[in-house]
Amino acid sequence: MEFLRATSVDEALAAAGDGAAFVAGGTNLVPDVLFGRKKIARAVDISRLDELRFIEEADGKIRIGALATVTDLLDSGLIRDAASPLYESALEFAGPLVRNRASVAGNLMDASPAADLAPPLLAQDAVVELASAEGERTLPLSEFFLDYRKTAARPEELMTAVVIDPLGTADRCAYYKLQLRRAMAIAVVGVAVILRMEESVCAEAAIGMGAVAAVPYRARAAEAHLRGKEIGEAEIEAAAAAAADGARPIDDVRASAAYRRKMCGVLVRRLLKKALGMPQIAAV
Amino acid sequence: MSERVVGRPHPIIDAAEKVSGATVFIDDLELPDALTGMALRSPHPHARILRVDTSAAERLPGVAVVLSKNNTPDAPFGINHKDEAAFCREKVRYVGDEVAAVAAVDEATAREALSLIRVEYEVLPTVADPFAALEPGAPLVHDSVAGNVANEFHIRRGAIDEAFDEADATFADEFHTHLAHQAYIEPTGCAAQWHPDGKISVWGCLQSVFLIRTFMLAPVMGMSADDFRVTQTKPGGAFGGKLDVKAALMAAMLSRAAEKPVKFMMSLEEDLIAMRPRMPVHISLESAWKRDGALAGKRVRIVAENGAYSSLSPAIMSSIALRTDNLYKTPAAEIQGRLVYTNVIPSGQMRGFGNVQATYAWESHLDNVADGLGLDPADLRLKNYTEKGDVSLHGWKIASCAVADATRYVVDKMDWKARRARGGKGRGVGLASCIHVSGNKGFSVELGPDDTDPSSGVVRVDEEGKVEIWSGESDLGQGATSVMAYIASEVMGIPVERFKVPPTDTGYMPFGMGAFASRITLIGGNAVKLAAEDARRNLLDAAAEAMEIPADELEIAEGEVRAKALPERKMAVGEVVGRAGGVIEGEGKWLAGGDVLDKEKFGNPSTTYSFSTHGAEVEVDMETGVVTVLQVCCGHDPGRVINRLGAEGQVEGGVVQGMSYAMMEGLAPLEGRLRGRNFHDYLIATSMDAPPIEHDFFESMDPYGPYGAKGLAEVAINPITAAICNAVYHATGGARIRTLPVTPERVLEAIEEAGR
Repeated sequence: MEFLRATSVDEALAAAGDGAAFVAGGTNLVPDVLFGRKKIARAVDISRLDELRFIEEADGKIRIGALATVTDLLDSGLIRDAASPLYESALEFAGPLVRNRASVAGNLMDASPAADLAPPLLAQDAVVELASAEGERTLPLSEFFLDYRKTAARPEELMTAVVIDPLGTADRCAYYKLQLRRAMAIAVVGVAVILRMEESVCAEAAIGMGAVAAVPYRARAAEAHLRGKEIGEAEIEAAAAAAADGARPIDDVRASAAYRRKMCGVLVRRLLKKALGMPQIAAV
Repeated sequence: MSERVVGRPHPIIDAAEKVSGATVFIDDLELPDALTGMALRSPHPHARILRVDTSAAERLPGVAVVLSKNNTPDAPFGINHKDEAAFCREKVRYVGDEVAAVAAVDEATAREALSLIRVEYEVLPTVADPFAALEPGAPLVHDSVAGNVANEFHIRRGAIDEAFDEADATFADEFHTHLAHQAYIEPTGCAAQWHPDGKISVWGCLQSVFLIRTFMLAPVMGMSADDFRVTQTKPGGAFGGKLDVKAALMAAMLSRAAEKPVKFMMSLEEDLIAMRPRMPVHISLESAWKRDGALAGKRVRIVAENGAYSSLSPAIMSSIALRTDNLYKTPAAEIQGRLVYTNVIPSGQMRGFGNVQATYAWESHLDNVADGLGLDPADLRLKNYTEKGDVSLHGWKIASCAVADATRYVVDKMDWKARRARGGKGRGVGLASCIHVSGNKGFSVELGPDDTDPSSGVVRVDEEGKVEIWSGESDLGQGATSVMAYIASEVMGIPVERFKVPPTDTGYMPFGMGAFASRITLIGGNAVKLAAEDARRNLLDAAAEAMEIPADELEIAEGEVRAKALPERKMAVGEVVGRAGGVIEGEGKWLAGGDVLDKEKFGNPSTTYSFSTHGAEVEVDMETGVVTVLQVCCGHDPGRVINRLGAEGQVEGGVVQGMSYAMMEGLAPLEGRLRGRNFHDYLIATSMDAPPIEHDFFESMDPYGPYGAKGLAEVAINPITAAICNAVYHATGGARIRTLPVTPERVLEAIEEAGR
């Protein structure tokens, strides 16, 4: 395996393709290569490209640079205040050592069904910026995950930034990661909920789901039960049922598909109530 | 208790060396020109070996030797049954079974050599489930063992039928435990060096340097035990898993064949799939009671999962079968056990030696009984506990016992009555108790030289006043060497800082059985105490001559020999030794009490017994089944605390390790293939999961223990699983966890079952 440390984005892009893989924190790629799950011809180290490490607000958008780490999310007042589900997912992400290295873009590019940052970013209508020697393009995150560990990024493309709209006072949100221990655990189910309220009506509803299908995804059918409605018990129950119904989980070492499906309903119900400040059966 | 050292908090004696990174672990050990040893392991749970072709591997440049059934003798070994071979012969019996091994100049070459070995298999039907293995016509794991039953027993003691006929109430339950690894941080490995005189040196993190020679190395290699010099390297954890270490055999055989040193280091994945994890067991319980909560009798049926080979599993099953009967006054019992071969990784011993599983089942059952009888679970236990002076129905003699004090402490500290009254609604408390041996005579017969369960120690003082303790008992991080140093320091009046306890080494140290069965503090501690007393006498005799004062008018304190009447007449210990020729020694030997059990498993297997009670408070998310352990409160009776800091570490470590086993661990076999093959899928608790732990010691001052001390390692882990399960039962208004681990999914199923 060849190793190349890029000193500029252009240099990194020039070295892409032909079995090359970009390496930032390496928290996914290194174990994948070590244990033979991935074979790569060339590792293109982008970890020194400081110009990709930023979290900034510009033109009413939050741009998260590809090399921003999960710890950077936690250190950012902007993320805490204007992307709170993302902030909460970062709190539950692995452990401090991994959070210090793992990059936001890496978590998305790895395209694990259980990628912790994906549900909140999906719910916040994230758009990813992709660059290659041919040029740049943008893509909604909801169109980025194609299938199990398969993304819309072409082999030569580098994710350079993730862009979200900041949440405002009208947004109600909640996040939960169901896991088997309190750190360094793959999600059994991850759910992020964002509701944009206009007076008592839900103008926009977004529910991001993780670890319950081949890809992280938006629970569109569940959202439809909420959008444009005054949300009461009936709407919440309908959304929860739709979320459970829409899930395509698998059995694995962590939980059965049946349990995961049931939890989709439980968590969506609970998070909607939490977001709206409604009484819950038990605290999350 | 006027001791100056014993009972106080001290750091473990090699703490500075460990935290500064100076410790040499097995992987750090460098032997000049050492080859890398690696094993080829079976990819199949069950297959016939048609042919092993190693010729291409042998031709690869850099490969020194390839071993397989083709060029090694048929020398089956095993502690209870000789059912295992160095390299598989006619069949492979689990995924991970050793088929061949290579020694090569480096890891890459060794790995390539493994890939060049051609093995032709005829895949056979897998029998992974023990109940399926017991069915007539099931595939046989060992062709010579009909019905796949490795061991079987049926014991009736007391008037068992009358106990049930005349009972006011009877209860029945079934429990199932899982396959869990010891999950030490240091993967297993050994190094070996063949010498031109035909002898072999072996190094590794081993629980018993003496016994691995006699039960594994010598018989398989056709050599005598004293052909091997086995030296322990500093431990990176063992918890029972490094007693039966085949890596030592691999390294030694490769080294002899290559006539060069060989290091055989297992990867974490190899360790997870091919060591000897904690035995899964299926326990059916029935118990008979009087209306007032007096236990009248119990029936126990056990199906224990042996896996592919037996090792110590028959003894583990025995421990599971009988242990809890001795914690309570049990008038009658009927016990049936069957140990079943399967095509799964061979199971083995881990901290608790079956008692974690047995205590989980029985103590869970007790709370169901308390519920049925309308009694408080703590009161039910307090009514039935064994006491000092009791002889149990199996013949166990209780020499000291403070379990009731431990339980009353837990009840008091947890505000038990009030919390019990408030139960349900997702929050609850539970407790559980246990009894454990301090040494077990049975091992002495199965593994040791004879039936004495001996230990010996040498204490050696030099002309600088420094002291070395030589003991055959190993420190695995549990603090054994520190306990020895503190005992000897107390006896000899020499500060602890002057003591050194090197790792065990059969080359020059006196015999010891090693670290298992919570035996070292009691048995090794007594041997070292006697050795220290002997050394002290010899020091005083030498000082009497040097100082011209009778020995009985002298004492030793702070490393000086002083005249009792004239403290200004004194001489440093080092000077005394120097004038006596440069070395003063003491030696001590101690033989454990108790008996070897008879054929009906009757007798007193240990000198004495330790006890504990663990209490847990949990919060249960009733919709997701997620359990949070809010606090743990526990009381332990280790006889007497020798090193308070070490004892606290044992308790906290035991509780968290037990909680981890109870709630998240598991190798998760599926048709004989393990799914927990790394620490990503095999979860162990982290500091984030550890609950606050409040605890205290209840010192029963054992009559046989050094300064009254007995074992603590295993009572620190045994009850926590049941305590958590009982708290979940209380919190949920009746969700009983019958299968481990306590995952959210299982808890939710149990909640739904309780609601029906």
